[in-house]
Amino acid sequence: MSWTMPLATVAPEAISQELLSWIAYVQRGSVVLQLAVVIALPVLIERWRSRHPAPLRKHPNMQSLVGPLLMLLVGSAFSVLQFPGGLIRYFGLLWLGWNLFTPLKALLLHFNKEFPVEELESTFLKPMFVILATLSLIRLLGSLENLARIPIVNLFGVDLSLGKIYTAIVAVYLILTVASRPAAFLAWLSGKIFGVKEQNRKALELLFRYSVIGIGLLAVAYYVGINGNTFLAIAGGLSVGIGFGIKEIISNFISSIWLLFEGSVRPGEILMINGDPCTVRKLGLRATQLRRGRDGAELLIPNQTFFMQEAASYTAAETSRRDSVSVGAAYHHNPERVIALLEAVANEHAQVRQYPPPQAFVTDFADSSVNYQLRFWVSNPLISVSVGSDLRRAIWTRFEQEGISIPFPQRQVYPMQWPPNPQQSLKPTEETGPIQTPHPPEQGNNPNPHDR
Amino acid sequence: MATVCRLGSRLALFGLLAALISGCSQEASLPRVLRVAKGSTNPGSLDIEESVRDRRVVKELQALFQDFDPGLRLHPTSYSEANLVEDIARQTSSGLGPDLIVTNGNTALTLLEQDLTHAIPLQSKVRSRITPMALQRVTTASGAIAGIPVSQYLQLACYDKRRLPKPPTTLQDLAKASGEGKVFGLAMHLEDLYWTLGGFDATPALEDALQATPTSTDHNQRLTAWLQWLQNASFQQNVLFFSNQTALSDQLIQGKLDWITCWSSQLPQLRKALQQHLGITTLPKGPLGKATPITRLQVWALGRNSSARQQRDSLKLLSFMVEPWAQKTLALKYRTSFPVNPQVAPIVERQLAGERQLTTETVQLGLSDLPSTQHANSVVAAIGSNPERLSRVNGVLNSVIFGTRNATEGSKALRQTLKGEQP
Repeated sequence: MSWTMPLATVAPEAISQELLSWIAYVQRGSVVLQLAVVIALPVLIERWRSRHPAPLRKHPNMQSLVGPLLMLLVGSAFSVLQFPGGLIRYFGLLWLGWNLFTPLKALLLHFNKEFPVEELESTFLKPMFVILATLSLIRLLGSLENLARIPIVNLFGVDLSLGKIYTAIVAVYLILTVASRPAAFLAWLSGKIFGVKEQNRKALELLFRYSVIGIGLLAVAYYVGINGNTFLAIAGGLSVGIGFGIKEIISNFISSIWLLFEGSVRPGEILMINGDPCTVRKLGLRATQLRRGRDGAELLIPNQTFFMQEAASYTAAETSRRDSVSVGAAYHHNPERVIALLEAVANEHAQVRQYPPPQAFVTDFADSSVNYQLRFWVSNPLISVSVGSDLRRAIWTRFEQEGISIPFPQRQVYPMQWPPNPQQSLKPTEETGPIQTPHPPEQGNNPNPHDR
Repeated sequence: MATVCRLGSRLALFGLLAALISGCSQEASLPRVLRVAKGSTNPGSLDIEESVRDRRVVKELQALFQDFDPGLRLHPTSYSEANLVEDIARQTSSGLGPDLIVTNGNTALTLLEQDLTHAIPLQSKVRSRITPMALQRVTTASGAIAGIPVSQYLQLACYDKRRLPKPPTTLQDLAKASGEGKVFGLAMHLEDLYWTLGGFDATPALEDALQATPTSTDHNQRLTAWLQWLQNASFQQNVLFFSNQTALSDQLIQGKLDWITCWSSQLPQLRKALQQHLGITTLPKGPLGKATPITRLQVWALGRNSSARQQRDSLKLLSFMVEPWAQKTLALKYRTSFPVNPQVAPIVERQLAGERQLTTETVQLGLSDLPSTQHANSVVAAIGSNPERLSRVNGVLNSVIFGTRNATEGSKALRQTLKGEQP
């Protein structure tokens, strides 16, 4: 029985025969009894524990070891009685191994509170446990060596055995999860030796990581027997695939590599996306992860977007950003004095850069005020809004102190009758008189009518 | 809610247990499968081609047997001979051991000694279908039979005709040819080296030691002369000793060796690689007599964990395999081994000897009931009946070959080992 697909033939007959042969085991009383013990013991322990609060309830780590140890004890008792008990001992050991993760984590945290135990457990310990458990179970049920060497897939003319496929999957997993460590070390080393900046170091780390993954995957391919000619065949096949189906994915991937080399989008950079400054968090294979300064939202933008569309950067070559504050002063104040005051206010702010110096300009002779604009530079583009706010408050205070008024238009409202009574003139009624209200702001979203 | 959950979990537990127990009690309705563990012919790691061939052979045997007993399925699993005992021990302790174990005579004895197999309850009808010589090789000191011998392999000399046009017929010729630059390869195991004993007529010394009777000076001198030859040969630049037979055949195929000792089981592989350049001949004789090669047996042993029905099926299969018809069919189908059934052996021997361009003498040397062959096989059987002793004997031979003991010390140690004393 085999399935033939383009470039590959799958013949899982050996696996199905192996599975079928396990029926032989269920026909044996000793195996059935052991399986019954393996299933019943945890259930009985759980029931007993729910009825009688365990004496070790204050020590959960110790309590988790009771069940596995009891199973090991039962397995050993079977052996002492000259009865096969290896299966019980095996499952007892697996249970013990699994339950040991919690005390092990507690122990590691006891010595070092910063130790990334959760990451270690999920990315390394538990996968390793699953790999070892699978291999040992196969070894117990049959010949691992035999099963590992039986070819089940023919890929590009190369016979792939179950062992090779399993090893390749484990190796690829390890490469993908562990590759970040040597890459981070190399990036750190280059920073120390060649004095590479922090932002460039992150890009370097990513490049190293891709290199480690690329070399690792090539090594795995060579290990399973896929040679250079096969790569050519794969490339040929992929070119068709790229043309139709996975164009976007490849385009995003190539864009990410290009952006890294170009250095225009690196982790730590600040880019303007739709008018909002955003920090680049991570340059992934498909998309770039950014954090929007305005609301902290995480944005995932496909890499090719940066390739195809323009994006304003505040960190590419020039890291400082210029912003401005607009204000109006009454006509009777001397513009020279107002400009001097505005520039003084900006100079006094700690986060306004001294160079280029802040400058104030007269921008308009408006209806009720002379309008000025104060332009200033800040080092970090993300703080320009807060610096702008600080400057507006300081200008208001200084204008108060110096007696400079900020005029605003006034409006008079007269209540009137409609339709007009021919007996009445357009004079305001005696009861109400004219009502004076400040002129409503022309733009509802601008809290300061003069700050235009 | 908690009560419902508890009830559910209890029902699930009972359901599972009931399913397991019913599976056990309804054994008759389940497919009849026997797991067959096959050790590799040669020690060392598993050879993929060999394991694929073994699977095919067992499946074809299943097809043959199904004509008589439809419904029985055999599931072959290959193990490297080096790990076989360890793997079987682990599986047997868990109740997951194989129903049948296919291995050589010595390993079958080791498995029985370690209580990993059942002794075969041999009926007289089946006993009459196996040559006494083969049966003796799998009988323990207490008389228990460790497994059923099903076929036997011959030891021969294989060489590359291009590199060695005239193979040596005597050990003296062998020494001369090695001096002229021809490279010879030998394996270090007693079974593989036993043929050289005949050339020095050193077997009586081993028999004396086995029976714990005093050895005559003459016998002693011949044993020492044999060991001295082994040591001298190992000191020769062009006589190389290898730990196993697989390495020998690989080196011959690669052209690094010109002449090796080989087993008939290796002939298909060697013929495929060397084609018409492969030469096969008898093993060279020594100064005092002809070579005394022994045969290597393929033995089927009974696993310990089988259910009663699986054991019945296993015994039925074993009985079928030594039937004349099955013996002839299997031997002529695969053409790597010779039958153990005395009725069939002469017919197959003649046919295979003719095809392989072997002289009848070559075949007879290993298989016949000639006194020398009987003798050799009985000595190896006696040594092999105690696996620990066999391992110690191999240790002494290695120490002589590597030069850590001289021939006289080696002779003394060998005799002590065979007597059951510490050397």
